[in-house]
Amino acid sequence: MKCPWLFVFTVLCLRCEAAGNKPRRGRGSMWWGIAKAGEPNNLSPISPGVLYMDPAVHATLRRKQRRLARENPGVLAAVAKGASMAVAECQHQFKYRRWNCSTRNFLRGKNLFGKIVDRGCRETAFIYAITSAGVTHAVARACAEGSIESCTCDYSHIDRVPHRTRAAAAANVRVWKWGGCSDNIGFGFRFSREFVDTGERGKTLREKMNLHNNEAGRAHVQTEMRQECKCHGMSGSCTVKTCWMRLPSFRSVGDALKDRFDGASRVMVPNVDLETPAQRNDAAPHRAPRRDRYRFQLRPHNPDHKSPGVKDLVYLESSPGFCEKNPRLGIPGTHGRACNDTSIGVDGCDLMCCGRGYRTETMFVVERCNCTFHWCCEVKCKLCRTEKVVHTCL
Amino acid sequence: MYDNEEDNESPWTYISLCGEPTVYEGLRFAKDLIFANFILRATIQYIPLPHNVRHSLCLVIGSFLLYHNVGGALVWIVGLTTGSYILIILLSLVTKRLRGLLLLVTVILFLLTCEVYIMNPKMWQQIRGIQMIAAMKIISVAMELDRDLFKKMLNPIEFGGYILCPANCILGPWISFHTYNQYLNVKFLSRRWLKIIGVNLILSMFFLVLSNCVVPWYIDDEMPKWLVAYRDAQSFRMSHYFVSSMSIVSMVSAGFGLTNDCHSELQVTKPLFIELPRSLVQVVVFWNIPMHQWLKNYVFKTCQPCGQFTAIFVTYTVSSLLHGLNFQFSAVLLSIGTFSYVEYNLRNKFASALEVCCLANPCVKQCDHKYKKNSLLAVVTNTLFSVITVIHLAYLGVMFEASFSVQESGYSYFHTISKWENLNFFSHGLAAFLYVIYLMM
Repeated sequence: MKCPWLFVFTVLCLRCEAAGNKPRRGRGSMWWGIAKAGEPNNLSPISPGVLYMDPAVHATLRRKQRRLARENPGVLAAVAKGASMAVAECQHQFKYRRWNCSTRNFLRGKNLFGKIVDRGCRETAFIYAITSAGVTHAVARACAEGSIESCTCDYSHIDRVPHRTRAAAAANVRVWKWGGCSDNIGFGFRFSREFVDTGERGKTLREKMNLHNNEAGRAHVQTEMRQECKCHGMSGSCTVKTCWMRLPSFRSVGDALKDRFDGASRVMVPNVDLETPAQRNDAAPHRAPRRDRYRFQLRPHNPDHKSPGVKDLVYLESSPGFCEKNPRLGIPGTHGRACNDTSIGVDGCDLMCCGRGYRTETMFVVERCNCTFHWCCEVKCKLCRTEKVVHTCL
Repeated sequence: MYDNEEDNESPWTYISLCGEPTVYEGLRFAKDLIFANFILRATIQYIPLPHNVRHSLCLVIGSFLLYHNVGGALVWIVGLTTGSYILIILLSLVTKRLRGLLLLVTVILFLLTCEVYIMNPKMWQQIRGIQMIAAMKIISVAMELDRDLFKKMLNPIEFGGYILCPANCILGPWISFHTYNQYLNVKFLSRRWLKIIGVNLILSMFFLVLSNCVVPWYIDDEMPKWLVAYRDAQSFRMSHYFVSSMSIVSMVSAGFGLTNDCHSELQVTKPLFIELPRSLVQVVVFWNIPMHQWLKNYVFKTCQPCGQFTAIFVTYTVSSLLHGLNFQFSAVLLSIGTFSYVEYNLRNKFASALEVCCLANPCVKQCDHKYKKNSLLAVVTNTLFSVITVIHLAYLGVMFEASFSVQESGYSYFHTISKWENLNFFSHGLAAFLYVIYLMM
C-alpha cells in the first residue's frame, strides 16, 4: 500500500524541484540527457531492455515519458539515438559560431545544454526544434526498420489514417495509395508530440514558444520527406508505378532549421488572448482537449512583421552575448576556440574572439590522404603528416 | 577531412526501407493479374464451354482487369479494338491483299494522333504499353488474313477476346491468334504449374527490387559518369526484366504458354544474354523475343522484297513508331539499328579476314573458320565486341533514367540530347569510327 504513495511523492518532489530551480523553462526538456546515456561513462550500452532499466536514464524522464517508453518497447533506444543525433547536428551547424551548442557533463538535475535554455532566445528555439526533429526522425526510422514493437506495418489501415494524407499534402506530394512500411513518419510525429511535448501545457508564453519550436522541428522532418517513384511497363511506359517514402537525411533537416534560425521571429504576448484563456484554463484545468494546446497564434514582436508560420522558429528575448564567460547563464565564452584568420564571417578570428585577439600555432597533423577506391567496395588511404596552422582565441 | 558522422544510412537499411514497399506494391499489382487469370483458367478448365463463350469470357475478364488497372482510359483500348475490327471488315470487302499494310498504317496513325492531340501525357504513358500490345495483335491478325491463314473471317468475339485477353493485354507478350486459340483449350495442370508461377513471381520481385533499390544504390552519383550511365541503364534493364517475368506470371497463371506436360515454353527475354552480351544484334533479338518475332514475321518479311537494307530500316521505323511519336524512342531505336548494322558488317569482315569465329551471332553448328570459338584470338575479339556492346547499352539506356515526373509523362527532346551530350555523343562517334574501319578493311 505504501509504494504507490511513495512513488507519487517522489514524482511530486521531482516536479517541485524542476519547477523550483528553473522557473521559466518549459518543463519537458530533461529527457535530452538521454543523448548521453549511452556513452561509456554512463553505465550501459544501448539496448532496448537495458536502456529502460538504466537509472540514469530513468531519472531524466517524466512519468508520462516513462509510461510511453514502457508501452513501446524499443522506442527508448530510438529516442536516445535521436537525441544524440540532434546534439551532433546542432554542434555541426554551430561549429563556427560563438555559441557552439556545447553540452555540459550531464548530471542528474542539470540540463544537457546548460542554463542557456532558461532564456527564451534563438539558441533555445533551435535546441528545442532540433531535438524534437531528432526524435521524430529516429523514431520514424526505427519504426520502418521494425525495431519498435508497437509500431507495426498495419496494411489494413493504410488508406484510412487521416494523418498521413495530411502529411502527404504538407509534403507537397501527390496522394498515392501507399504501400509498405515506409511512411512511419506518422508514428514518429505522433510519438514525438506525446514524448517531447510532455509538460509543455502551452499556458505560459515560454511554453507556447517551446511547443511552437517543437512543432517546427517535426514539420521540417515531415515536409522534407521525399517520395521516390519509378515507372515500369512495356518499353518504358508507366503501367506499374512503385513508390516509397524516404526520410530526409538528418543533415538536410539541420540545414533547413539553421536557415530558420537565422530568420527566426521574435514573438510577444498576444495582447488579447493570452491572459484570459490562461485564467480560464486555471479555473477548469482539464477541460480543454489535449490537442488544443497546439492551436494558438503567436504575434510578432514587431507588428510590421508577418506572424510566424508553422516551420518558423520563434523566440522571446534577444540572445545574450556569448563572448565572455557567464556562469549565471552557463556560457563558457569563446576563450580557446579555434578560428579562421582569413574569414570575415562569424568564424573569422575578429568576430569569434570578440576583438580580444588570437594565438597562432603550427602543429603537425596525421590524416588520411591519397584515398583510392578499390572495386568493390573499399577505400584505401595513406596516412600523411601535414603541417597545420591553428588559430585560437585568447 | 572526414566527417564520420555522415555515414548514418547503411546500405542494408536503405535497401530494406526501399525494398519492402517496392515488393509490396509489386505484389499488389501481381495479385490482381494472377487473380483475373486464375478465374479464366479455372472456368475454362472445369466448365465445358463452347468456343465462342470462352472467347467472350476472355473479353469480359480482360476488360475488367484493364478497367481495374487504367480506369477510364479503357475506352481508348476498346475503341482501338472496335475501330480496327470494323476497318478490317470494311477493307475485306474491297481488297484481299493490302489489309495488313493499311491496318498497320491506320493503327500507327491512330496511336500517334492519340499521343499528340488527344490524350494527356500521363494517361498516354500509362496505357502506351497496353496500346502497343493491342496494336501488334491487330496488325498480326490483318497480316495473317492477307496470308490466308484463317479458314474464315474472325467473328467480333474472337477478335475482342484475342485483343483483350487478360493473360497478355497489360504486359504482353505478344502471341499470335492461333497460339492464343490453342492455349484456350483444356490443359493438363499439375503442381508444376504453381511452381512455374511461384518461381517467376519471385524472379520478377527480385528484378523489381534490383531495379528500384539495389542498382541505383551500388554505384554512387559521384563516380565517373560512364559508371553512372551504366548503372542507370542497368536499372532500366532490370525494370524490363521485371516486366517480362511478370508477363510470364500472368500468361502461365492463365494456363497459357504451357506444353502438354506442363512445362513453360514461354521466353520473353534473356537477362543473361543482355547483361553479358555477345553483340548488339543479340541484345536486340533477346530484349523482347515475341516482339522480335512479330517484327521479323510481319514487317521484315513483308518488306524483304524491297532489299535487305530497306527492310531493316522499315522494321526499325515501325518499331519506333509503335512506341509512339517520341524523339527519345526513335533516337534510341534508330541508333540501335545503325550500331548493330555497323557491328554486324564489321564482324562479318573481321571473321572472314582473320578467319575467326567472331560473327555477331554464334556459328550455328560447326564453325568453318580457322580459329574456333575457344581460340585466343576469337575470345579476345569477342570480348572486345562485348565491351563495345556494354558501352552502347549504357549509352542508350541512360535515357530512361529520369525524375519520376518525366517518366510518368514522357521523355522530351532536350532530355535525350542532354543525356547524350553529357556522354559527348561517344557511342555515335564510336559507331562512326567502326564504320570507317569497316570501309577501309
